[in-house]
Amino acid sequence: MTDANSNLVAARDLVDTFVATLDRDEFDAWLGLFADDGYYAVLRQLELIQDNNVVLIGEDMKRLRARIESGRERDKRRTVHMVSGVRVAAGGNEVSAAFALWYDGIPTYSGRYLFELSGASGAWRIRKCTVVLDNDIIRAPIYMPI
Amino acid sequence: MTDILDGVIAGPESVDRRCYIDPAIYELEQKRVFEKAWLFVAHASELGNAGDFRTTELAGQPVIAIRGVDDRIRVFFNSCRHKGTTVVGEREGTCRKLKCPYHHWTYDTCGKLISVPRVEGYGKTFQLSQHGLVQVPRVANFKGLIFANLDPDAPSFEDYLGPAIPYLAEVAEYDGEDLVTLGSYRYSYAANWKLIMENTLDDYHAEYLHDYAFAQRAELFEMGGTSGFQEKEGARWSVDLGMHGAYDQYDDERTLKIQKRRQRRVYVGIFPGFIALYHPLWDVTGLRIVEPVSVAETNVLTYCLAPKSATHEQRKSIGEHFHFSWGPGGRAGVDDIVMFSRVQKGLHAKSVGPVLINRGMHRPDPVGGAADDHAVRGFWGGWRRHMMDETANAAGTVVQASANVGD
Repeated sequence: MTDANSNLVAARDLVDTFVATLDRDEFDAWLGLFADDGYYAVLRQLELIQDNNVVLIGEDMKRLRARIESGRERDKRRTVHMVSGVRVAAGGNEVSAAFALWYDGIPTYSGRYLFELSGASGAWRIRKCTVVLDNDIIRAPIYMPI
Repeated sequence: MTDILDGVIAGPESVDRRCYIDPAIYELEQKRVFEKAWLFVAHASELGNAGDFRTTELAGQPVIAIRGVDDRIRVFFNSCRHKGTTVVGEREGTCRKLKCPYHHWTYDTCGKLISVPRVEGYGKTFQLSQHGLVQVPRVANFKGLIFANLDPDAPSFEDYLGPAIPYLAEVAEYDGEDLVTLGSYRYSYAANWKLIMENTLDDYHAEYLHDYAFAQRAELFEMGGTSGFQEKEGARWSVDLGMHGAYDQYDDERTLKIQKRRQRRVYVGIFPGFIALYHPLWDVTGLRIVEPVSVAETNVLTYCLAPKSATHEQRKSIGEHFHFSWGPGGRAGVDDIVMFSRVQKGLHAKSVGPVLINRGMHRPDPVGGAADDHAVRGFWGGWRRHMMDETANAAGTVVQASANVGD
């Protein structure tokens, strides 16, 4: 298997684990995908372009853990994520994928995941996950990570 | 003739549940409130250069705010004089001219029609000068806040604000300095438009609904004092401004980790659907523009602003504090949005009786404690004035606001 192919396999596995742990409420495992200096952001395409930090979520690991700690008690919506189009950038440490998210069976959000990774392929840790929503209007509160 | 509002209670002590859930009352609000009131259109900093534009709707009518080459900001109906097409489809942008995509009728940034393809087809009497974009009847610029009114007979914006002027002026500038827009976005919630106005003017809920959020905030941002719990930190007053409302709070210096320049928290509600706030814990200035979609669906356009002189790092910091607390992903914002849906659902229990807005009613002065409903009652005074043609606030008095500002 070429490096490119093995990277793609590893990237698909990473993205699949990312959404599967969210959908199964395995949030400790989800947090474990991140590097110690990891960062998680949810925004729209416009905020990505403007880089204005007026985003929906933008949290380091400490705040992300706190969000999950409180959100577990308050956000009981069931989620299903679907992902497609997983790609690895030429440099090998950036992965992107399209996603769609259902809350309690209702299609609510879609967009792209942009991952910046550290470590070797197959043992990647997420240094930054940017969730770019396609939605112009944010139609549901975002408590737990999406 | 029977009016659908016959028998409806709308303050000052309580509010009939129909006001939130009856589609007929909602439709009447569009005519009597939103087609008559001053509504926010844009912030001047979004229209900094000639050709900068921003689109929105006023009572469902599409409009475009644009700075012309003559440096004047105008608000036009976003509708081509030819077939009615929206001339601009984007929410914001910049242009040298406005070209309708349908038949390429083209207007300059001052709204003049400057070209029509094969214009001879309209005959010799056709004049470009008579087919410019139509301006919204009334426009006002209050310290960078651009408001418009669809009613040509509406009072001036200053008269409309009345005693709310000093409160809005305090938030619209940063300690005398111009503010600029960092960013804005829309979110929606599944409930009546008035719930977020009441929520924002009701400081009573914050300590309870957002208790864990405040506790987390104190820990994560290493705040001292009592971290903004209002009953413990210099809560001062809520004020009924006749048609508008405001409240302030004086935060403990130990809590103000972010900055030290301004200590006073001020939230101002301008009837019907505009909130301006300054929050010293975060050094954040925010705007909320409430856009009714239906009786039980509302969009909120939310802005984050910063002083014009703020550095890149300061702007990043203000953005960070803004999104930590507010909006559909913010700690407190999520709480509120979830609660709106629950209130809307609960209001359908019609036999339970009216909802209460009477906290602090025993204090006859229009200025009550910060957790009182004086500001909420101000909002309902505006509702009665527009919906029921009530000429005076039922509370009977309008506070002389200047006495409460700057202390």
